[in-house]
Amino acid sequence: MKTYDVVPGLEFDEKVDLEKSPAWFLDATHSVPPWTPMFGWFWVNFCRHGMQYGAEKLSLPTVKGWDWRFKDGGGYLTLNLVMDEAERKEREVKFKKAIRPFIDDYDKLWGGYVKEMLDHYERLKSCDIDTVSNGELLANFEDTVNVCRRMWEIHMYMMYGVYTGFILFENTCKDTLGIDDAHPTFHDLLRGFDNKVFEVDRDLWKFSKKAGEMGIADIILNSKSEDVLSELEKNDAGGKWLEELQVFLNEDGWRMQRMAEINMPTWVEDPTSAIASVKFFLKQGGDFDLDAERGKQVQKREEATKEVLGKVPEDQKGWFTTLLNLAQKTGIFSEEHNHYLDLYTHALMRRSCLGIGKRLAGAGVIDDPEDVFFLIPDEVRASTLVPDGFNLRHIVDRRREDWKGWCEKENPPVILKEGFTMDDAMGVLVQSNDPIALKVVVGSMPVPKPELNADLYGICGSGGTCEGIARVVMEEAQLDEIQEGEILVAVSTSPSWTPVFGLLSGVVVDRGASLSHSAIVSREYGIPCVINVFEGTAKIKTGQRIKVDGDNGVVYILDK
Amino acid sequence: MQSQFQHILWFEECSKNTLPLVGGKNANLGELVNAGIRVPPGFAVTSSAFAKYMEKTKLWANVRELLADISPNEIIRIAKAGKEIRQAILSAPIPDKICEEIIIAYKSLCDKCGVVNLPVAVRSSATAEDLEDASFAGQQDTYLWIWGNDEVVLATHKCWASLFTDRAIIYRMRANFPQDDVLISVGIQKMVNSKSAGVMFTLDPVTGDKSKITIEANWGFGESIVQGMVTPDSFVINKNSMAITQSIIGQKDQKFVAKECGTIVEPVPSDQQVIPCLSVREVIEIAKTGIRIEKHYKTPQDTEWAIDADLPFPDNVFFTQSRPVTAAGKKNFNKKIMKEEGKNDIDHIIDLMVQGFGN
Repeated sequence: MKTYDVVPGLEFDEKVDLEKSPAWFLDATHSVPPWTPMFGWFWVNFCRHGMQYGAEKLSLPTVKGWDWRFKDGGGYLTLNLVMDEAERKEREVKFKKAIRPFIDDYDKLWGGYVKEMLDHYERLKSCDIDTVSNGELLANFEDTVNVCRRMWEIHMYMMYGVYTGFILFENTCKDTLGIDDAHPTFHDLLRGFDNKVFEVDRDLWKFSKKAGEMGIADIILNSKSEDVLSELEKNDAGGKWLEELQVFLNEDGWRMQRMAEINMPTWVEDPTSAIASVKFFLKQGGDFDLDAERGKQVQKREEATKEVLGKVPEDQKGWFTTLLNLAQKTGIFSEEHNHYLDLYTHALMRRSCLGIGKRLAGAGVIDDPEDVFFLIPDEVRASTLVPDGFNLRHIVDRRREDWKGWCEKENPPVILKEGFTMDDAMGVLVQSNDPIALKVVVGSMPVPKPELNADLYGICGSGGTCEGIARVVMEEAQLDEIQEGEILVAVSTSPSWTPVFGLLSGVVVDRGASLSHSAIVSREYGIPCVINVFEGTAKIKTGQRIKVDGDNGVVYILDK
Repeated sequence: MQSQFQHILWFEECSKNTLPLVGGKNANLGELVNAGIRVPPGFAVTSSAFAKYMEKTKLWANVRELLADISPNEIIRIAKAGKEIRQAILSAPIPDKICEEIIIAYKSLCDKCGVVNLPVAVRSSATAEDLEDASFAGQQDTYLWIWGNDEVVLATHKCWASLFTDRAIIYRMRANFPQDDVLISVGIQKMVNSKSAGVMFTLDPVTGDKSKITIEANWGFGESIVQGMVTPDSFVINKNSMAITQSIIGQKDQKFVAKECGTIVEPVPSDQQVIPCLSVREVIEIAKTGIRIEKHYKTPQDTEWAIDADLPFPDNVFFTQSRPVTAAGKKNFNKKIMKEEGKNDIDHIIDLMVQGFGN
C-alpha cells in the first residue's frame, strides 16, 4: 500500500505508462543505489524538464527530450519521439537556426551560462541559513528549487547541442578517416585540455606541495581518514594548513561525494575527501608534476591533429577544423559541467535542505536534521514557516522504511510492455537519434574478438597498454587502499575520484562511453583505459595481475 | 589433357601466357585461380572464336571499307560508321560450331554450381596489351545477370560488336592501331549471389601501414561500398598475428540485392543494420586470401570480394577484382560529406547535423 507518492504525478504506473511507451530504461548511472525521496523528487521533475526544454529550444528534429518516472528510488526514462514526418521537417528548419550559437561561439555561450549559475550560487550562499528567519529560510529553499530547475535547463540545452556536434565529428572521422570513438588516435585528438575540474585538482596538488614544505606530509600520509582532521589540528602548521584549505574549499569545494545524491557531506562541510585527494598526490612523491603531465598530453594531441588533418583535402579543412574544435569542447564540457552544474547545485541543495532540517528537528517536526531527505518539497513548504506542533515523523518513518526496501532489492534495468523485446527497445533508442541517448544509454557495445583470447572485451577509452596489480573499488571509501602503479577496476568513476588517477597505471570500468569520466581523465593522465567491459568488477579480484590493452579494448587476467 | 573445346578456355587454363587468346581480364582471373585465390567460376570465349567468326562472315572487309579515310575528329562520320559495323556484326550469325561450344561450356558451368540457368556476367576482355590502358578499360561492354543459352550467346555476340563502339574506334585511331587487326575475347562468369560484399586493401589505406589489412563490408552486392552509399562495417587485421585488431560496425541502412535481371537498392531491416555482415571466420578467410594475392602480385592490392549465398564456406568467399593500390592508397574523403565550393563552413556543418538526424 502506497500512501505517499515521492514524485506526485510522475510515479511509475505500469498500466498507464506502458501504454504511453513500451520501454522504460533505468538510469543506472545516476539512480543506483536508489535515491532518497528528496533527491529523487528534484531529479525526476527537473532533469525531465531540462531535457524537454533543451530538445525544444534546439528543436531537435527527431526527439522532444525524455519522459521520466520515479519507481522505488530509481529514475526510469523513455524517449519522446517525433513521429510525424511533416513536423520533423518543420523542426529541422528551426534546428538549423537554433544550433548556430554552438558553432559560432561556443565559449561565449557556455561562459554566459557559467556566469549566470555562479551568480545564482553566490546569492544562495549569501543566505546565512543558521540565523535567518523561517520565512527567509523558506525563500532560500524556493530559490534553490528554481535554481535547480534552471540548472537542468542549461545542462540539457548545452548537452544536446555539444553532443550533436560530437556525434557528427565521430561519424565524420569514421566515414572519412576510418577511425571511430574506440580508436586511440580519436582519443588523442581530445587530450590535453584544461577544465575546471582539473584546475581544482591542480590546486589540491599545490596543497600537497605546501604540506611537504610545512612538514606535515607525514601526518596526512600516516593518519587514517577518520583521524586525519584531529591529527592536523593538534599540529600548529597543520592547523594553519587546514585553515587555508578551508578558504579554498569555500570557493571551489562545492562537490558531492556521489554525483547524483545529497545525503552525504560536501567537501565544504567535511574536508576529509579533499584531504584524501591531497594524500594521493603525496603518495606520488615530490617529483610528480601535474603541469608537465598535461604538457605531454597537449603534444600528443597536436601530433594526432596533424596526422588527421593530413588526410583531409585542402578545401575541406575549414569546416573540418571548426567541427574538430567543437568536438574538443565537448570533452571539456563533459567534465566541467559536473563542477559548475550538477555538483555545485546539489551541494547547495543539500545546504538548503539541511538548514531546513535543523529548523524542523529543532521544532520537533522531525527527529534528525537529515530526516529532511525523506521529505519532499511540498512537505517542506507545509512545515517551515510555522513548524510549531506540526508532525512529519510518520511520513519520514514510512518513507525511510520504503527506502531501505528499495536499497535491498535491485530495480530492473528496463521495464517492457508484454510482447516488446529488448531488441525492439534498443531499436527505439537508435531510431530516436537522440544524441544523449546514443552517447549515454546505448554507448558503443564491445565486439568480442575471440582471436585475441582475452578475458574481458570492452572498448578503448584511452590508448596504450599496461600490466599491474588490480584494485577493485566498489565505493569511494576504498580509494584510500590504492597503491601506486595499480590498475583500478570499478563499475564507473566520478569526479571526486579524479586525483587518484595519478597513482594508477591503468583503468578498467564496467560501464562508460568515450565521454565518460573514466575515459576523459585517463586520457589526461596518459594511462590506458578500457570501458564497457560489463563484468570487470565481477571477474577481476583485487591482487590479481592483469594486462590492460587500451588500443584493442581488452583485458587479460594473468593470475588465474 | 586435350580439351574438348577449340575456342573455350576455363579460367583455370588462362594465364599471362594465354593473354593473346583470352585478353587481359580473363588472363588475370586465371592467374588468380592458379595462385589459389577463389574467383567466381567461369570460362573465356577466346579471341580465336572471334577471329574465326570475322573470317567466316567476311566482316573485316566491311570494317575496312566503312572506316577508310575517316580521321579521328570526324565524330559524326565515326558514329555512323561504327553503328553500321556493329549492326553488321550483330546481324551476321555466329557459326554453329562456336555457338555449340559456348552452350556446352555454359551448361557445365551451371552443373558445377548446381543452378539451372545460372545467372552469369558476360564481359569483353581486350587482347592487345595497350588496350589495358585505364582510359580504355570499361569502354567495352559488360552484361550482368544473363541466363539461358540464347541469352548467353547473344551477350557474347554483343561483346564482340562492342569492339567497334565509337570511343573504341577513336581510341585506336588516335593510338595508331589498325582497325582491322584487333581481336577480342569474352569472359563468362558466375554472378555471385552476394550475401555480403565489399573491398579489401592489403594495407591501411589511411596511413599506408603495410602490416595491416583493412576490409569494408556491407550486406548484398558490393556496389554500395564502391559508391560510398552506406557507412560500412570495417575491420582491421594484423598481417602477422592474423588478429582482428579493430572492428567498427557501421550503420548499413541500404544494400543492393538481385532482382530479376539486375540489382536494386533496398533498405536493410533495422535489426541487421547494426550487426556485423561478416562472421569472424569470413573476415579471416578474406584476409588470408588478401595475403596470398599480395604475395602473388608482390605489391599491395586493392580488391573487391563477395560472399556467395549458394555455396558453402569457404568455397563461397570470392574475389571479383584485384589491382595494385595506387597513390599510397589514400582512403577517399567521403564524397557525401564534402562541402561544395563557396558554401559557408558553418552552414555545411549544420546541414551535416540535420542529415545525421535523418538516417
